[in-house]
Amino acid sequence: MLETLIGKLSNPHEVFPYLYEPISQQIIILSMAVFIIIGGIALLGGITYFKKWGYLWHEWIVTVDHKRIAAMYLIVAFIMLFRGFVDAAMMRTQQAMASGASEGYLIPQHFDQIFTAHGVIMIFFVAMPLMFALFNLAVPLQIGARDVAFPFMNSVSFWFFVAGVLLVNMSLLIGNFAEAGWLAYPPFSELQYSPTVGTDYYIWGLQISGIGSLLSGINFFVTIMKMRCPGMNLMKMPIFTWTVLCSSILIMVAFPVLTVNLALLGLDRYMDMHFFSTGFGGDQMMYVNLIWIWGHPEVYILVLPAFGIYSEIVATFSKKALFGYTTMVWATVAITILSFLVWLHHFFTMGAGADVNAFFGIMTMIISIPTGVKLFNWIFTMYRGRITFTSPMYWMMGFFLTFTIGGMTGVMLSVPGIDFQAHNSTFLIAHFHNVIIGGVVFGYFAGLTYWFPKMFGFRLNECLGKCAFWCWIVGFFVAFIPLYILGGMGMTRRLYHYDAATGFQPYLIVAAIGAAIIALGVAFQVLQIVVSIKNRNKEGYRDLTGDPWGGRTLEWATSSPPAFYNFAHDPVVTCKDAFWYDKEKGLDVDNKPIIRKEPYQDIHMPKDTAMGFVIGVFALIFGFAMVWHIWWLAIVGLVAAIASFIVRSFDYDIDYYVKASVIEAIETKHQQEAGVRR
Amino acid sequence: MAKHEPEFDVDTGATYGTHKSYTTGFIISVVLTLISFWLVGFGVLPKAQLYVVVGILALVQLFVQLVFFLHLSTHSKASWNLLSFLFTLLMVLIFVLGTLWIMYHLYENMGMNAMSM
Repeated sequence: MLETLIGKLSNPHEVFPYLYEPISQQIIILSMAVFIIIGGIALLGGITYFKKWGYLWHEWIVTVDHKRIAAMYLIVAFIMLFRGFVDAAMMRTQQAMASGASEGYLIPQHFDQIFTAHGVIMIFFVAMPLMFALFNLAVPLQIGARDVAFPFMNSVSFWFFVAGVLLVNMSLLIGNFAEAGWLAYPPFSELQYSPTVGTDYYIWGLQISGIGSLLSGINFFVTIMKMRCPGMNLMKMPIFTWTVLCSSILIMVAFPVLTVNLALLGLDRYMDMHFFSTGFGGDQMMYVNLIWIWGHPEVYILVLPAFGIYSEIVATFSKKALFGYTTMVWATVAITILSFLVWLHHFFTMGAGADVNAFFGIMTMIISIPTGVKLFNWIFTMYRGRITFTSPMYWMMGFFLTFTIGGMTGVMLSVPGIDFQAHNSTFLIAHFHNVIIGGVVFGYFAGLTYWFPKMFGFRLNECLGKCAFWCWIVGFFVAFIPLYILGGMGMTRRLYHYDAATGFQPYLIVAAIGAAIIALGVAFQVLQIVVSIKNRNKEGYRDLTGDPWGGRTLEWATSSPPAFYNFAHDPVVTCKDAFWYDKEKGLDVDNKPIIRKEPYQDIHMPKDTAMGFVIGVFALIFGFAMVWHIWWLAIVGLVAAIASFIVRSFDYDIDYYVKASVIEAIETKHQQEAGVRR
Repeated sequence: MAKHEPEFDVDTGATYGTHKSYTTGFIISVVLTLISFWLVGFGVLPKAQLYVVVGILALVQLFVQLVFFLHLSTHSKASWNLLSFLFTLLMVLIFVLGTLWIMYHLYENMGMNAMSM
């Protein structure tokens, strides 16, 4: 009876597995619980005390404004970055300790959950939302649009993502998390070997947030194809927008494969099917094959926008048009196609023959060519430019060095013979952190520093940003070069404990020190944000012009932060970097002389709606109920979510017009603040 | 009245369906399906030829449905429509053929019989 009502929640062994663990583990769980509870009380109490619930609801939760959704993505991503980083620090500490007689301070199943959570969180709940934050922030502004093509869908995407985040974090205290690694390879992730709810949290967390990602991909594809301002044809688009377009295409093609694959794994676990178990004709290698058909493009989904950011930054801070715009575009398109032809290099050792391995090895080597083209384009942009060494440029030059090393170890691994030696060793770990931290993370940090004034109206402290950069890059090399060496010594990944005679320990201690240096970098970043917020109205921080860096693209043509309608007049574009040339010629955004006053016109805008939030809540209820086998609640959640969608589709009162007088008031106020500008 | 309206969307170039085009597409699809059923049901052809012919009929019907129901056309303004379809087709082919190639290779190398799996 109880089990029908609350499913697996009726079993205390499932809900509170840590109650049956050694006391050392309980202390870790307890301190985490205290941290979560005190933090939660402080947050909720603070909102109540300052009476911000209404503000939070009306200004943020129901919003469909792409700039606010970007800010919310950013906040959740940084909370998750903190969690993912704590996981990393715990792993490094465990491996630095667990040599010979010492077993370290974690039990194996906790170590397994931590490395699984680290991978899942860093890719799905840090990198993806940071990327969507940048998409939302920059794309509509760069193409001169008022919002994305489907503002409501944008809100739904965000709340699906939050539902996924909450599911993954619930597993901290309610039940446990998956132990099967970040891609949950069967047969270990099958019910027989992972009977706890951990893998179910994994499946539903990723399914729900994955659908959000897919919707975002569609949204940005349509936005870029249909919402560009007059005159901006495809070959006049900023490179960042180009990379977002290609990244969206990759999302639309790749994410359905992930959804299907996880659904099949779910059917195995819930309905006792045998897609990936060895019995009854199932094959676990099919899972590996499918997950990498998604997984390899995923890497490029993340890194292409980072390449776009570097292209924007290098042109802006070199005061030069980007070298080789056309080759940059075609390199991006080439990577988009090629990224679907290399997936087998993740499982060369599976046992397929030399023909298959040779083909995918060669394709992998080929994909490094367009990437190399891009690198030379950036370098040639800097050549003879008038470079200002701001912190985004620091991140960018750090990227050159780090990414080149990571790319070269990648080409090494693309040789099947070398891969057979290095497969699943820490050499691989070092390689992909080399490209993901050096390429994606540095790129997103550069982009955030670059667009921060556009988003919030003030700049970040440059000095602290450079300190953070130095800690990150030094910490990165100290943490990961030892892993390259360890991989050469034969250390496998995900190692819980090793024999003292292996000689791994000194290197792992160095790696742990590297992680600590990176932690210092993170501390500098937090400090940077705090200091900048404190000084936001001071000279050198406040951005009144809307164009703090001397930018080249349209997002710098409007105020910082932009009014909710983005542009008072529709921008008109005649060439690449149109804003730059307009500035030189003394024209304004709509290609008219600045002095000439045009009357404002009514602007068509979408209305805020709570439906995105409501659907997200139902999706969360559905996911939680599925994890805990509470079938009636799962049905309620699913039906309610679909019903909300249908109700919303029959709502025709979804837009309104901003009156010209309102726009005039906002614009006049802004011009007065900006003072001498015009 | 209907014939005075443009036959394709002015923005996207995607053709609108008319009663005539939908009916034509429907009838062709039904005929192609009936032929397949007839071939299989009455055992008209030997096995090998049967597979090939039914496969070809399926492809023809796919094409018919794309043109009449999904409004794919080579009209210059609708070329993005065709392009995105061809891209999707390419991707599906890469995934399906790639997977088949990989898995058959695996079974052969691992001494497993693919047909019994």
